[in-house]
This record gives sequence, structure tokens and C-alpha cells, in this order.
Amino acid sequence: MQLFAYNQIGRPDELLIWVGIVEAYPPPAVNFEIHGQPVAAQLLPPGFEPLGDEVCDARGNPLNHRALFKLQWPATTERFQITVRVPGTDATTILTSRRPPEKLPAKAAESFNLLLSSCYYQPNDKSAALADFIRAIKPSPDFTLLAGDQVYLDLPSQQNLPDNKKRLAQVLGKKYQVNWFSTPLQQPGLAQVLSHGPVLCVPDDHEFWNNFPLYQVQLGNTHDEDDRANWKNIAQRLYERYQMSPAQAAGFFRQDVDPLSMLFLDGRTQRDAGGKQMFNAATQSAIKRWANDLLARKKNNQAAVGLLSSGQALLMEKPGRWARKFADMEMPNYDDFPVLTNALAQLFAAEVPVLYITGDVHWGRIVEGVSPRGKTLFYEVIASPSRLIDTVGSDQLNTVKNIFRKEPKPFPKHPSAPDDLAGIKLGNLRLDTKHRQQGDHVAMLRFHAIPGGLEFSVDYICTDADAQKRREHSSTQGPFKLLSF
Amino acid sequence: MIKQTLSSQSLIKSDIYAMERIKREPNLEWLKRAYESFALDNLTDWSFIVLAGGKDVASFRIRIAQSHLRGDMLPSYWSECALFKIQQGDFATASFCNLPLFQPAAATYAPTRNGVIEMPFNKLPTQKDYPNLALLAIPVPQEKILAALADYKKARVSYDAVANILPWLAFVWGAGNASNPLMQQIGFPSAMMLSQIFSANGFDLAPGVNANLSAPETFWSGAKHWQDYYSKTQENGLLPKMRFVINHMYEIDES
Repeated sequence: MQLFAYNQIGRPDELLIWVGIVEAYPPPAVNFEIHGQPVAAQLLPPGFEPLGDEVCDARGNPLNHRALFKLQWPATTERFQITVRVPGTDATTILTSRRPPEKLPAKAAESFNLLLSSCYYQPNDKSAALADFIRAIKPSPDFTLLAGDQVYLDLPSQQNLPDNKKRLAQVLGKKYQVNWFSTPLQQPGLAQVLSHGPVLCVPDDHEFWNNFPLYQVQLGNTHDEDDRANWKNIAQRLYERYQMSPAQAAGFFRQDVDPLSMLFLDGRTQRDAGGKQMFNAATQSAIKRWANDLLARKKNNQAAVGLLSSGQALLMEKPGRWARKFADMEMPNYDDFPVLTNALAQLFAAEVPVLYITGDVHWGRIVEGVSPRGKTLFYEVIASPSRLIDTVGSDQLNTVKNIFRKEPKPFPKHPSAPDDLAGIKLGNLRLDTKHRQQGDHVAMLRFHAIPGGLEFSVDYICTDADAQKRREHSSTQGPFKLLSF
Repeated sequence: MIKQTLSSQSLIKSDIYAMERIKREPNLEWLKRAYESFALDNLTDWSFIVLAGGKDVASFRIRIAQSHLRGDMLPSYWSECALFKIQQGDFATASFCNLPLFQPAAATYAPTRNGVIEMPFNKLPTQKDYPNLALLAIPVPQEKILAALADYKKARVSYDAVANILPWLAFVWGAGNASNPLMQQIGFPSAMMLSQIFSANGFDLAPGVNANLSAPETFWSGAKHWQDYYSKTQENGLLPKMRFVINHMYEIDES
């Protein structure tokens, strides 16, 4: 039996614990301790549910399950430890959490720290585990955002996926199991990243397949409509059971830490293949409500700064019709993209600043947006990847090319951030790249409240296995100020 | 030293053991005996891999290159690996598939087959050339592995296996300033082929090592040290098995 637990993001009044148990039927009861003291936990209905990987015993009983438990927040503002046990066995797992504050701390106090990590490919994490670097980060994160591609269900690209739906669920489910239950498997994985809560997971295409829901020439199991439907159903179930908190089930998650109003969007699971819709109706309403709330705060002479996030970059060129067959449909390809850009335009017109954070693109950068009146109203922060995928063919070519370069690139397999932003528009802002980051990395955003808004810095933490590269390519960017007054 | 993930598996029962040669048993006879010793219930559930260790200069260079994958920094026992293709225990039609650094002169133009060579079972070099031998039984149906291998042979446009041969050959021959390919993240050609066709079927031959560092040594350590991992991830409950014989080690005196 393997046990794993992590603190999924919940509504502000609930401490939510995801508990997974594999290789056990029926799943046993679990109990909880905080600081060594037993605490009550409410098992949320419907209780333990199969993880969706169709792994069963000889009698057909599902062996792998997860359940969600609601606990009371302890009366502390500090980070605390939660122990989850299966009574009568040695199965124990330890996680930590800290209640998100209602307000950003002032500059004299410790910052509010948001860890941004994305694009994790476990097969390339064996030389130096990502989790070990994240555990060593100081200050430690108060909020962990995994911004998409927590699993790569469609890789390796030459994989031979079965047509049979049950077998397909087992193959895809194994990828989740390796990433989530990595501690009992003694593998590098996300377990130790997740165990530092609260954690919010935003899905992107590889939670399904590259450029989901469009079929992809290189992925045989996406050519036929029935095969796509099978894969989608299985991937959706796995995402819901492993990653999705009930607090984000509507398609978005909102958390306000004054003056910051954070809105995290799922622009992937409800996306159609025709370029019409990526956000469901509830998410579109949430975007409008978020913008209106920020405008209302400003109108009431309260500082207001928006933080927006989804699984894809905002400042991207729109890929053409043929490019979509091979590469990714970007957000500008969708008819409901203006819901987002209109909300931003409204905010910029009222001089309410916004920070956009994401992953997805396999490079990192910071872009600043300044209004014609010279006011800084926008930053985009991208951190990707935490562990790069293998790109069959081009990896080899780039490695060989690099050997013959006068000055070899430090990360020959990683793409570079675009040199300029020509052709990309966001409202009437003048856009300027402030930083480019290459190689495997994560970013820590450290926030402080200041009069009229907030100040933040970005620690780009190179997570390469090579210690010298980590030293050379880790840096702190900022501080940057976003002021609504 | 190449960094990798260490297994600290508790002692679990595994079907892996040294099988000494009976007198001066030839490689072909040893392999037959090793294969039979697996006593597999359903042969169609399995594929087979052979590791071989030579003692000539080229083998020495390959074995020493892999010492960076070993905690003790000693040369690997292994200098080659191959898929052992066998249908229902019929050795008369069995063969080995690999990407030899020294491509046979009689073979067709290497790029058209992505470097893959198929060699009949009875052409396996003798124990004088390959004193070290291991046979691994991997719980993935051979039928699937052969289908993946057929794709691999035709896939040079997307994966150029021949490109991996050249840096290894340069290192073996000491051409120019060629350095250890593993330190440049270039896996051993035959091992890269095996790693890719098995991972295409959901099986990780070396759970402790990044795939682009595949080498015979990583398969050896995978089978030996990651049984616990396999026991928790194999839905069919079948675990890798291995038989091996080590008749050649380099004399190293640390006294």
C-alpha cells in the first residue's frame, strides 16, 4: 500500500487535504494530526473514489483511490505540519501548510511568496531532483502554483498507446502515479513539491495531449474521433481526481490577498477544437466580476492590483491555420480571448495594474507594459520549464551543433525567449522585455504591500543539475512596483 | 561522476542471480541455459535483452566511459547490449538486434536502417571475446517491442540513431579531442535504441537515470536495484528477471 497526501487549495475557510492510497481495496480509514495532536477531519462526499487509472485486483475491484478531507485551520499564522496515517500500519505521510493571509505584508515584514513552476517532465529529473531544489528555496513558498503540464500524458512521442480504453487508462494513470506517489516509489517527482501547501494546479494541454483538443499529426491516438474521446475522458478523470480542487471545479479559482486580487483560469479543459471557446460561461463571468471588483476597489480609494494566470502565455502571436496541426493553438486563436483582453483594457483605462503569470513555453521572461502616460500597468512573468521534455530529433541536432559553436550555449536543448515583442499588442501599452531566462527553472514571486499598491521581486531559480549553471543562471529581478494610485 | 537517482530499496525477493558457466561453457550454451532457467509461464508476455562485456581495447574504452555511472567509479562489466529476438524458445531462428559502433561492411547503407543490425544467434562472439554476459527478461510482450523496433528503423528523420554512433566511435578511437560521450549527455547507441523502444511501451529500463544517458550499465543497475519500483508500477505483477556471468574484471589494487 502507498499513501500520499497534499494540501489542495480550498475556499478561504477550509483546509483541504487530498489523500491518495494505492494498492488497497477497500481503501483504509486515515487519521490526521497537527503538531502531533489528533484533529477531526470531515471526509467530503462521496468519500474515496477510484483515481481513474482502472487498476483493479483479480475480482475487478479498483485498487487506487483518493479522497478529500476538510480540516479546521489551526490558530496560527505560521507554517504547520500535518501528519496523515493509516492506523495499524506504518503508512504515514507528512505535509505542511500555511493559511494564506488576508492582506499582503508591509515591507517591514516577511514577504508573501508565490512559487511558480510549470512543465515538469519526470523522465528527465533523475540527475538532480527538482523537489530537492524547491525544498531548499529561501524564503519558503506560501502558495504554490503549478501552472500546467504537471504530467506529459502524450510523451514519449514514440509511445505505443493502446486503443483499449481500460489499458489506455492504466498506461496514462501510471504517469500520474509516478509523479504524485514518487516518494514511496523512491523516484524524483512532484510529491515533495506538492507536500508544501497550499497548492493550486492549473491544467494545460499535456494534461491531455499536445495542443488538446486538436488532433495532432504526430499522435496516432488523436486521429480518430473515438480515440480522441476515449483519451479525453480518461485524461479528464485523472486530472479531476489528482489535480483539481473542488474550489476550482467551476473553471477558475479566485483568492484575494489585499490589495492583490488573484484569478486563476482553466482555459484548457472546456476548450473546443474550432477556436470558438476556451473559457466556460462561469469562467467568463468570473473574469468580468474580478475586473469589476478591482474597479470598485479603485473607485472606493482602495489600492487594487490584479493577478491573472492561466496555462498559456498572454503575449503571443496568433499561429496560422496550418501551424495549429503541429504546434499549439494560442489564446489569441479563440473567439472568447477578447473577454480577457477587454477586461484588461477596462482595468488599464482606469489605471488598475495587472500581473500575468504562467508557464507553458519552455523559456522564461519578464515583460513590462507602460501606458502612454508613462504609468507601469502590466507585468508578465513566465517560468517554464522546471524539467524540459525530450524533443526527438531537434535535441540531437542542437547538441551536435553546440559542440561546434565557438561559444557553446549553456542550454542547447532549450528554446530561447523571443528577441522582441513586435506585432504583439496589449491595449495601448508599450511593451518591453525586462528579463529573459533559459534552462530549467522555477520562479519565486515575493510580494509586499506598499502605499497605493504592491512591490514584487522575482527570484529566478535555475534548477539545472549542474551547480555552476545554477549559480550563473539564478538571479533576482526587480523590485517592480504596481500602483493603482 | 554522472548524477542519478539512487534506489534505497529494501530487500525484496527478485529473480536475479549469477549463473556461473559449467566448466568452459560457450556463450551460446550459457544463453540457452539462462533462458530456460527463467521458466516463464507465458513467453508472449516477455522480451529479452542481452548485455555483453568484452576485454579488447574498444570494450575497455566503453567500459571505462560508463564508470561515471557507478558509485565506485570502477569500469562497467558491460560494453554492448542488444535486443534478443526469440520466438517461442526457438534458438535456431533467434537473433540479436543492436547498433554496433563498428558497422559490418557487408550490411546495407546504415542510414537506411537507422544503424540497426540484426545478427543471427549463432554469430554471437565467443566467451573469449565476450567473457561477461547477462540475459534480462523484461515483462513487455516481444511482439510490441518488435513493432516499435520496426518503426525505429524507419524513423531516422525524427530520431537519428546514427548520430549517436559517431561521438562514441570517436571516443573509442581517441579521435581528436573526443571526450566521454556520456558527459555530453549522449547515450550509448544500442542502449538508446533499447531505452526508446521499451519506453514507447511504458517500461523504464533504467528508473534511476535520465533516458539520454542510457548505457548497458544503466540497464544492469535498473534490473538489480529497482525491483521495488517495478513491483509498485507493473500492473501485470511481472518483474524483470536476470541471469549473469562475470568472468572478466580489471585488476585494480587499492591497497
